[in-house]
Amino acid sequence: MEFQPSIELLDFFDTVFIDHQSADSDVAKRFTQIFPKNKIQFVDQQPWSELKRTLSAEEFDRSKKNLFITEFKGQFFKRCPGSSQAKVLNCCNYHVLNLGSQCNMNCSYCYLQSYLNTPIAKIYSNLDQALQELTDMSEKSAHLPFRVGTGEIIDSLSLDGLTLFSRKLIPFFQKLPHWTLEFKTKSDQVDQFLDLGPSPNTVVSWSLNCQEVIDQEEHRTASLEKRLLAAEKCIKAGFSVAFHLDPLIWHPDWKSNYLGLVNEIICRFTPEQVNVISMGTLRFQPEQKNMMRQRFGLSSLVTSAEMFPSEGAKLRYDASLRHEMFRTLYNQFKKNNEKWKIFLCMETPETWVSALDSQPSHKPELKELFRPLPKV
Amino acid sequence: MKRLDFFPLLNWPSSLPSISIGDVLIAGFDLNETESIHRLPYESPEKTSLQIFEVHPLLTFPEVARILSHPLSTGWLNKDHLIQTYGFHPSSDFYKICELLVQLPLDFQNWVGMKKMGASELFPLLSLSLEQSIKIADSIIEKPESKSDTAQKIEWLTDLILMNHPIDELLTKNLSQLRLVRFPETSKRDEYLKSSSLPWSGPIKTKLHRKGDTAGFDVQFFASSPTELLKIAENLKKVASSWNSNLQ
Ligand code: SF4
Repeated sequence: MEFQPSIELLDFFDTVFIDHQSADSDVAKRFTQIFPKNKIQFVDQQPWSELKRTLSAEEFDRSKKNLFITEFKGQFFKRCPGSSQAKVLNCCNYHVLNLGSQCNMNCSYCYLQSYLNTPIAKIYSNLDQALQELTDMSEKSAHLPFRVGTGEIIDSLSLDGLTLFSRKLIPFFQKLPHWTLEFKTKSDQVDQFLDLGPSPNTVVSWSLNCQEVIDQEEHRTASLEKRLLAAEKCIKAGFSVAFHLDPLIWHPDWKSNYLGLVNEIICRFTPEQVNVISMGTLRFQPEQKNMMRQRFGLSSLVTSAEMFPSEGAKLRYDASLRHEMFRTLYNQFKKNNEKWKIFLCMETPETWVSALDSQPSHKPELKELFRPLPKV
Repeated sequence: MKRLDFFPLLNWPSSLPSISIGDVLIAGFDLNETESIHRLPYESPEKTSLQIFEVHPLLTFPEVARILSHPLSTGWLNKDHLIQTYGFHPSSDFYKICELLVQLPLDFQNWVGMKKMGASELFPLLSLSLEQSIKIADSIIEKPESKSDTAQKIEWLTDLILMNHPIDELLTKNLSQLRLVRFPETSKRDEYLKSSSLPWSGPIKTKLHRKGDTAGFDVQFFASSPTELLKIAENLKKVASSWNSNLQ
């Protein structure tokens, strides 16, 4: 029997609009089966398509609650945004495959607030085209250690119980053992694909935060405990797991809360079970501040944060505070076991050196991640 | 004759006739209506925005805001088109800030226009009540500062008001005092660095300086011989190691 998504998730959406041209796709057929009839509408064009300007706070909120199933027009396979700033920021060799846009969760710092200008969440109906693009690439590059992530402008798994995209992607990557498929999520939605394991080249990764920050800033996401339980299930089923301690958010008790988070990871997992742990501190585009202020007020730790203009035109914490946060967590991991593989995401070489005494490509355990790959 | 009087900043030259589009006066509001009026034909909402631009090519953002909020403009001109014609970006927030701006004191509106402040520099006010925005506008007019300081002040005042700091108290502070309230932790860190007893000595002069997300020292010295220079280098080494151990 096909996987049944939670009632809560189905209830969350006001309407699912299906582009007539996508009506025969697997994903559209599934949505018509699992959603109540009164929530489905077939349309000839994208709803609210007249809205061609930057979204207001209200329009952004509405875009989360309405889904549009349509074809993605263009190239699915892109390089990670960090790699275009290669001179400035150290970035992992990471490639992006967008399977939709927008997110049903609601983090106060979410960069989609300054990135998206489509007035509705989208799910792409032509996954087969994406798989064809990957097949073409694999003809030349099957032997290279490509990492392909699906969580750039949509959470990889929070809607996977609806789309079941993972059930097509995982078997595809199982045929390409040098490649890695990376799901990145703040949900605990894994049950729909666990039976496909073992699949060591599928890395299910979680953005983790201490529960205090989750409660205050990561609305409608899974609790820390649920995320860790989901990670344990994945390991048991033969999937690889990674963690992103990102964004680390300053708050008065940050040290004890984040050390508590590190200890939780150390107690429940071994370095061998966790592919990599990335760390990043809060950062966002200055333009995002206005939308966040309107959506979350100033009681949020994010909107009230002390942020300064920094590399890549983003706002970041004071550099010495960032270094202190990185060093504190890094040392805690390394004190437990030298084998934990830690890297700093979207950070400058100066921060690496200042916080961890070395550049990423000089750390033996990270060398492979930073090996340059041919451009695709 | 209907009047789309948007209180233009510049006086209409008395040597020119008033101008209307159809039966709506768009320029020369002070002139005697019985005198000559140059009447442009009304064609369409899109054409109207272009005609306004041709007559008033240099309108500032508050003047455009006043046209947009004038009851005569609805349906009569294409608002998105007008905004784009003047080089602005028609977002929902742009409309909201126009609506707010026209309710703020006219002196403030004109100041915003003269200083060529952008709509986005006023966006923080969208999170405040009208009364709070009026208080801020009044205080800016009372003690005008540069455009960039004003934009910064609006942002910090908005943040601090939303963080429940009493507005009347905030309005008595200058920009550097507001910075201390808005960035208390960083100010503490900077102060700590400044007061940390780093062993600077000899002819070395230092000043703590913040550049974006980093704080550091401007260091100045004068050496009149290689020996002096070596002494200074020795001292700098000592300072560096002491600074480093402060960080651990
Ligand atoms: S889970 Fe990710 S995509 Fe979703 S709201 Fe949070 S930050 Fe944005």
